[in-house]
Amino acid sequence: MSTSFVLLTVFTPEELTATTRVVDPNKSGGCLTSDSPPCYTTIGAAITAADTATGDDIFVEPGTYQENLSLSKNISIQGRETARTIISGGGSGTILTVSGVNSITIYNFTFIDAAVGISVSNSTNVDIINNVFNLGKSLGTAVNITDVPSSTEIINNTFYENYIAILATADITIKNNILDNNATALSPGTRDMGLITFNLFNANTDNGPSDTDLQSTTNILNQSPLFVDTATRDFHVEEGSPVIAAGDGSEDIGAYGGASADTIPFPVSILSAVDSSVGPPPYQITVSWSENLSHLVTHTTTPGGYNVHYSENRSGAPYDTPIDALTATSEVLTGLTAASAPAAPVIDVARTEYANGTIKVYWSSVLNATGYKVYYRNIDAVPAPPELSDDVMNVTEHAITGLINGDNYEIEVTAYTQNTYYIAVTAYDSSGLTLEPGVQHESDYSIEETVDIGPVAEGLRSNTETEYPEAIVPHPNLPNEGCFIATAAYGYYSAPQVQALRDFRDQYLLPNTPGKAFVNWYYTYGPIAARFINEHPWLKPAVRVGLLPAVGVSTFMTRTTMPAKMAVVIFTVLALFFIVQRRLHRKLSQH
Amino acid sequence: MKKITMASKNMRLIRLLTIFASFLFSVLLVPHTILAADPLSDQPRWSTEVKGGLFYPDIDEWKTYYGKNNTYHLAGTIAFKLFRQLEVGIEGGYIRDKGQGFAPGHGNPAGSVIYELFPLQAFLVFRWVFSEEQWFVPYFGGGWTRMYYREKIEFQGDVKGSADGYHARAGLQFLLDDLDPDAANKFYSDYGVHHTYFFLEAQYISAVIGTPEIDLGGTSFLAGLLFEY
Repeated sequence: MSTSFVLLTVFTPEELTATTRVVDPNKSGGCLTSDSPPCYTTIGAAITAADTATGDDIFVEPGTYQENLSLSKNISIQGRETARTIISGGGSGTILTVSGVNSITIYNFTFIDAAVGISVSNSTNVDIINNVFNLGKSLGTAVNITDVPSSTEIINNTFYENYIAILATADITIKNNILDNNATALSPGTRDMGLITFNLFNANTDNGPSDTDLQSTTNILNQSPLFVDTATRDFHVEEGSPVIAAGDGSEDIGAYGGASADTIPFPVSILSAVDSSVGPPPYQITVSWSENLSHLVTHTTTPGGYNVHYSENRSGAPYDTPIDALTATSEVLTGLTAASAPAAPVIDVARTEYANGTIKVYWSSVLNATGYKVYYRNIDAVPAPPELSDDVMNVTEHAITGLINGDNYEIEVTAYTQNTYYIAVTAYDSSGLTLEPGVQHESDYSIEETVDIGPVAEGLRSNTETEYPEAIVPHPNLPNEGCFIATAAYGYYSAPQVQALRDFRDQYLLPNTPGKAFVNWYYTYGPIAARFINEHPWLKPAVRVGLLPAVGVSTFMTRTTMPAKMAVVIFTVLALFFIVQRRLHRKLSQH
Repeated sequence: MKKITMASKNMRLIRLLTIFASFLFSVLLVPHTILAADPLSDQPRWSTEVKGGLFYPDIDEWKTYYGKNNTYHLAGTIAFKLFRQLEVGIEGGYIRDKGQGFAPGHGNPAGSVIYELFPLQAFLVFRWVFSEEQWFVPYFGGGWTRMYYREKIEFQGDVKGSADGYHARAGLQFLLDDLDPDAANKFYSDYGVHHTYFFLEAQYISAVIGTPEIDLGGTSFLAGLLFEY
């Protein structure tokens, strides 16, 4: 943007006193009142601020603007890149109404989806240059000019699929335009043919003037302009197009011909970017992209080409390295390296936190790390369970949950990294010097692709933190009326028997549907029983005895290891088997 | 955990005496001339308060677990005037703080606990008002308190419950109508608001629960606006 602004200022000396106002809704950090040049988020805001006395310039960055604009000031309004600076009427209305001006230039825009693209009345010296009009074949009038003198000029525009391309009640200059696939190209058809020159008329339902009249003034009839891709509104033309060097002054006809045309190729799209490494490092990435078929890029004798831009572990422009792929549409990026293992992080043991079934650790960040792993193992359990780990991505703190209260855990952290390459492709033409992508003779960057290369390199382990989780007693330690019967019976919320029942609920009931249903039922009717117990304290010892089996089972299930559980189950089954067998034996012996 | 000790009972008595002394002092501020009863025509029947301020909990070691010895208290009331000087009303409040709990094994504060109180109160208030133009109106009252509580313990769940108790309140109201009579008249004609007061209030709440006993109450110092209509 800044380079264009400088160019605009330097190369238009007659407007040195004018202020250039920039419309850029995507400006990094947003438009600020202190911006120089002044920045706006809408074209309408820039027009409102423009000073008609100095003939301000409004420069519009690429984007899609849905606005209905009124213009009664002598200014110029320019898009940076015709194909991608789009003004939409949202399907109705007039996009730009020009009235009562003496000098205005509108250039390098694409007008879409409106009843009228540009409406001009009661004005002189109106120049409509290097624009694309694509309002819809059943909908819009691209340019509607009423009551203006012949000083109005429509030069080097592309009219594609409009209901009426140009509706002008006065004779005006219409030169070097492409009028393709419109319902009506010119209306009315009877006009001063001396002002209608070097245009291409193709596939219009009605050209307006007769073919004989059009051919009499150097217009081209019934030849396809060979647009690159009308679906994406890339109205550059392919090599072999009849509009190339066919205009007045041997300029190209259409929106991309003439001195005011933007020189920015249409962006390409990356089709694939994959790790194509074979064998040991160094690694490589194969990138392929769509072809830009503009004759300026594919020219047989002086073609343009493509640049592949990429950076290691850094997203976005500017990239570290451009590679000129010439006219090829794929490129292999070679000599890429894998990441080296990052250093070991350091756990800040002073910050370690513990809570119910949870230990939270903090550690130092490590240079170039793209993520961290937290390893932990229970050192109190017998037999020793396997070590577990949590991949916590790129953060420097983590709460390990699901731990057993009271058991000690050893915790260590590692950092890991993997090289990621960020890739974008541009197209360039050979008609001039490229400055930077999206400015002159080189397209804007394609949408960025990322490729991870090489193995994940994991660093050494941190210092070891040893800690145990435990249930937290809130302050003040208040009774929980939600714990109902057991709380009522044992007298306080944090009684170990109550905690055992809570743990059993959390570990064995809530994770499954029948368990949840039981908990819901209990939460509905438990408080009634709890209230009754509280009102009759003499019941509490009996309830405590009644709860003993439940507390015992809960304690056993939540406080023992799996081998211990299995041993008890086997022992119980054997004992039952022995008792039953003995009873049967006794019965048989009695008979 | 707090036990109700003799020392804390003395502290409670001192607070009550302080509130009562504030009330007496407020009464002395009222000029005798305005104490003469005016004919009270078209008097307000209802009042609404919105108020906020600081709550000082009556719980030992509060600062150890919550970082400071107070937290915020928001409340709103609606009251009906039985007489010009006597109102009956209800109040709903919200008190919240975030701090830590206690880790018994480690023997120190740990974890994360959000402590919330929802005091619901029914009260009777006597207002020392005998003129519609009286600038300063002292008041005092008290009543029943139902203290709902909730403790949200991170990774552990909630502790919920409630306790019954009582409260006392006293304060001083400043009539704002004369500061902008036009606005006051418009407020009356548009919304039926007779008077608007700014007030300062001290409130003492006691709601004891559990064994050993824990008093969920404390002392609040509140400021707010009172609308009579």
